[in-house]
Amino acid sequence: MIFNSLIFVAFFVIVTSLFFILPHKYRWGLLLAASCYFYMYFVPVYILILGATILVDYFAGIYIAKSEGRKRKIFLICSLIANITVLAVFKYYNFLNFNITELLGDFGYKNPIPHLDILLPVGLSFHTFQAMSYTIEVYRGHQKPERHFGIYALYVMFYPQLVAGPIERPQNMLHQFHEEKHFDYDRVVHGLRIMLWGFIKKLVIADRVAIYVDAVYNNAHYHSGVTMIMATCFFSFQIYCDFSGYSDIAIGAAKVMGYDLMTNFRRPLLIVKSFQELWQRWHISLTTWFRDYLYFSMGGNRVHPARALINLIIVFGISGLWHGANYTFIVWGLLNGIYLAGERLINPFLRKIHKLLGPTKNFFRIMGVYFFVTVSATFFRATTIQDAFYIIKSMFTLKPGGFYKGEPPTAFGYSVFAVLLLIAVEQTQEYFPNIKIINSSNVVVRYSAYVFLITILLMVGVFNGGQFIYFQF
Amino acid sequence: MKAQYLKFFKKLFILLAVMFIVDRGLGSIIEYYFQNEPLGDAASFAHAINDPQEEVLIYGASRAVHTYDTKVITDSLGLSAYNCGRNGSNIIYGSAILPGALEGTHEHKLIILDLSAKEIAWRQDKAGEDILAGMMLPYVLTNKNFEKLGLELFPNEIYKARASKLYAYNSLILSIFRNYSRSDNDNINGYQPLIGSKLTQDPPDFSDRDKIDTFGRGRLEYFVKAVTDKKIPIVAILSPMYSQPFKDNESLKVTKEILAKYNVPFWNYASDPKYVKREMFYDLAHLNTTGADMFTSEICNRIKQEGLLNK
Repeated sequence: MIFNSLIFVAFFVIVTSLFFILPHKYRWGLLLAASCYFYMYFVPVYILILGATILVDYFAGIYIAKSEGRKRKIFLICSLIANITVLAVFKYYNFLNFNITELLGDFGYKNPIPHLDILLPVGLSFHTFQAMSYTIEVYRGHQKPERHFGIYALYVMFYPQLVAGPIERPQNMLHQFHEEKHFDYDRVVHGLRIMLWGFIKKLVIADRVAIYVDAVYNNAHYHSGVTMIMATCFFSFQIYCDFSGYSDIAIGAAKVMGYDLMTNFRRPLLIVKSFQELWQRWHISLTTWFRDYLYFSMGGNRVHPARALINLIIVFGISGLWHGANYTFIVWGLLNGIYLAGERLINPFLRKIHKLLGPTKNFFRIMGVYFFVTVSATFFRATTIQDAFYIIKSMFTLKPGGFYKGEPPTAFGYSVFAVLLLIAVEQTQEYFPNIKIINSSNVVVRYSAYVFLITILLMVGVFNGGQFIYFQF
Repeated sequence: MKAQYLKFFKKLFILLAVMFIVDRGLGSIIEYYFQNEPLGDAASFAHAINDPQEEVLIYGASRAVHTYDTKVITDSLGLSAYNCGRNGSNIIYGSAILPGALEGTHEHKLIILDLSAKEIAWRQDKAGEDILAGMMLPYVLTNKNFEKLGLELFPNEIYKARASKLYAYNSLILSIFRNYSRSDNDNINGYQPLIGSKLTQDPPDFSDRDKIDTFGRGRLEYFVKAVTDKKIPIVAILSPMYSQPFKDNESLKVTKEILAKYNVPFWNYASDPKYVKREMFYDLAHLNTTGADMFTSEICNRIKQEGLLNK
């Protein structure tokens, strides 16, 4: 079930209504059943795989807490192996096999390992990482093991964040499932507002811009450099709004019921002034996951500075691979790691340049980050490395040809409108936080904002049930 | 707690009521401007369904809209002409607007049906389905043919359009502004010329999409039968495509069978080397003004040579 469908709206209304009707002791059961239904809407049989890993991690958590010394580590490793094996089989097996085939082919051998014709379970990388964070936190002693199997299953399967995050931590979520939630008018309205903005981001901005971006990227050889620059600029907004839109709907839906999910995005585009700041605001739940469980485990900033920079690039490369079993994602991750490591390395020099730029420094810093992020996004969007290089070359050499306005020709106009809407809202939220519109105390202003947003949604939203990009991860 | 629920539902009701009023009010304004567009697709639609008086009528999708210059037809054949084609459509749309001409008072001397190589495979594509639904939606509230087709093809969309007028006119606001600000030269009796060329590459291979849409096939047969039953001469044309020569795909084979069943001539210019040149095409699918004028002239000459109008 995808959020941008009528069936989800009906599902949300029914589940939320039942949630508040039922007494607290039955609510976990309702939410778990609803989450199972939500998940099984995609490929029902995959619930068995999810169920199996939940079972393994549930008992692993209990045994880790019970055990001492080496045994704790063994239980943790068993749990991690179980999770990573599922991820490896479903997500990376064919990628690895393809590479083996290519390698053996170069030496004239045939690969005997068969290709598996399997669909990737939706949201696998998200709930696997969330499950792993539980056993790691129990191992580290930051979290007590959850004895209630249903509550633990709900922690992994909670439907708002099941298939595309935010990737939660047990310390933030588990206790919330034990707490009794009441219908709180202000909180419900706040949650619904977050959801509304999430729908605007997804349907009005991401999916609208996608029409233009797809038309260009799917026929890159027929478009000019200027057209490709435009499409690539749009793509960075598309990916941001697609993913953060999902996160907003998830956060809003959970908030309506009284659950607080972690913030996943904090206006990263055309606001951040450095790559470090970018990764503090972009896909926060994943970035902090990699920081807490991988980067810190590799020594963090305590190792030799050169080693730390290499570790940073490695972590970003793995993060790229997490996004997809394709070299394009690995390059995208590595590029971003290199940006961040490079920024750390030349920071003293950058500070001198910023001094020289005087009052214009923020503008150039923002545009600089946006430029590099957008270039790396080409790898995220392209199907192959060759395609990505072709597009980058076309952009930098300004490949000749006319400017494509889209089909119909209004497609470009809608994309510009969508992006401007986002920029206007986010710049206002960032730089003028005292300006309240949708949460204004003035009823006329507030209702006008609701009506404006719903009108825009109905008139400009794309309602073809477009999948969220991050579902594939 | 009860007070919190009451407060919520009271405010929700107020919001829905305000939204309903805005939806109907703003939706009606958009509907008015959409239905009275002076130029563009909606204008062509309004003309095509309201008993068009022209002697030659052209049906098809964007390849018809940008190819058949009605002025050239009038100059060459001495007959008035109107291009009823519609961007982003296919035979399903054409079959829905056809009764507007056949059930009218005026006698038509020729119908040109421009087809694509994937005419009856088009809707198999999810994008094709969405485009069709989006294109037909504004008319389901005001046109019975479209309402009937819509209920068959995408009933959920019809219910949504009935619930919200703004939704029925989704994605149209910019094209309405555009059509009110265009000049007459952009639209000559339904023909929308494309000037220049955006092509920089050689003709690509024809990308096939071959799964037949049975509903589309039925609508093509309906179209051809309805016209031939009225004894109106009709010719089906596959206009030039900027692609490498290709063999008949399944869609074309079935299309030809249907046309042959009703003795409708089929003229295939898809790979005609006279036209498959950059200077003739605006983009991969559409002739520019140079190509369109030359092609329309050739079609008119052939119509005369083959005595189509006298049948």
